[in-house]
Amino acid sequence: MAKILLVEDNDLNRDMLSRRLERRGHRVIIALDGEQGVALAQADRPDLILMDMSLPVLDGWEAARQLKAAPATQAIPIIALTAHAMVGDREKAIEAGCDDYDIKPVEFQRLVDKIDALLNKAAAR
Amino acid sequence: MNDEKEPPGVQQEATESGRSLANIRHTLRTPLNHIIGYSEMLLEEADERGLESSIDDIRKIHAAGKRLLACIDELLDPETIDKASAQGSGGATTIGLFREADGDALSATIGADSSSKSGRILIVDDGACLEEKRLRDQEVSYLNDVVRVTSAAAAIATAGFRAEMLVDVVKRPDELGQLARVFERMAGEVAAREEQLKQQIQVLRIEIDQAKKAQQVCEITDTE
Repeated sequence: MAKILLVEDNDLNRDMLSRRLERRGHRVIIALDGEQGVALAQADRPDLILMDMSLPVLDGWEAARQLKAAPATQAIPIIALTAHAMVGDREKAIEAGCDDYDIKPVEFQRLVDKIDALLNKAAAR
Repeated sequence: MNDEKEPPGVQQEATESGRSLANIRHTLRTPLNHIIGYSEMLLEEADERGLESSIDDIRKIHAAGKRLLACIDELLDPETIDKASAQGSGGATTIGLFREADGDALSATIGADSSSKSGRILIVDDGACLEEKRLRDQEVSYLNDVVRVTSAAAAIATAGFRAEMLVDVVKRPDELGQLARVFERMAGEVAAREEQLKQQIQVLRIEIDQAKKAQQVCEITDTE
């Protein structure tokens, strides 16, 4: 199964999502802010990143921009997660380089489908 | 269409209103995310372990969380918020919460109040408006019944009273209803007394006629 980097500052969201993904057989590594997320992605090379956008230190949009700008991490698919769901948030996330977007509260099966689709796409390359 | 651009301060106020609502939405949705997510996780576990007794209760928690989420999404819909911010143009963004008959479902309308210069967000619970309307209707109904009672009182004085004049008012459980019932009883008593007087007059007339006849018979007999 895949190695997924979860970048999330809220401990309950982090705990819940990581446990559910682990129950599906994924390995989950955790970062608490955007800066840690960028560093862990460069060091651990996950198969996919789940990125909360409202993060301390470095927000999700900037972290995504940095990851997509770096050759070592630009191929890693990123799914943006936000609870704001303001009009234009999706476009903002895609502009920052995210491959997909989902809103919180996460509908888990929908998120799993998105994860699978991006992992399959990456594997096909 | 007015093509004039709004002053920057006004646009900023409208944007800030939208942002404040987005923050409220975020603050409300985050703990809901936990309630829904953990209950889904517990459901999966209970299902795997065959804990039938727990599944029903967890489903209730999950359903309540989803219902609350639907309410928040409906009340603070980002598209509506954005539209209201755009239309707000320096006026207040007004959110009306309309409570449906069952008191459960809520829906929102968001509009701009151009009379306001403040750009502040006004949250109006329309439950209060409905209560106000109900009281106003009651007031109008009371005044109409007062008019019926005074008309009936005038009709009693002029002997023009008819029972149907107070037909609805006498059903009222309040003091006005009591007054109407007193008027109705009074009118009934007056009518009965009138009837009684008529009968007494009739009897008196008969007696007078008989007396007259008797007198006439006497006069004829005396003459002969």
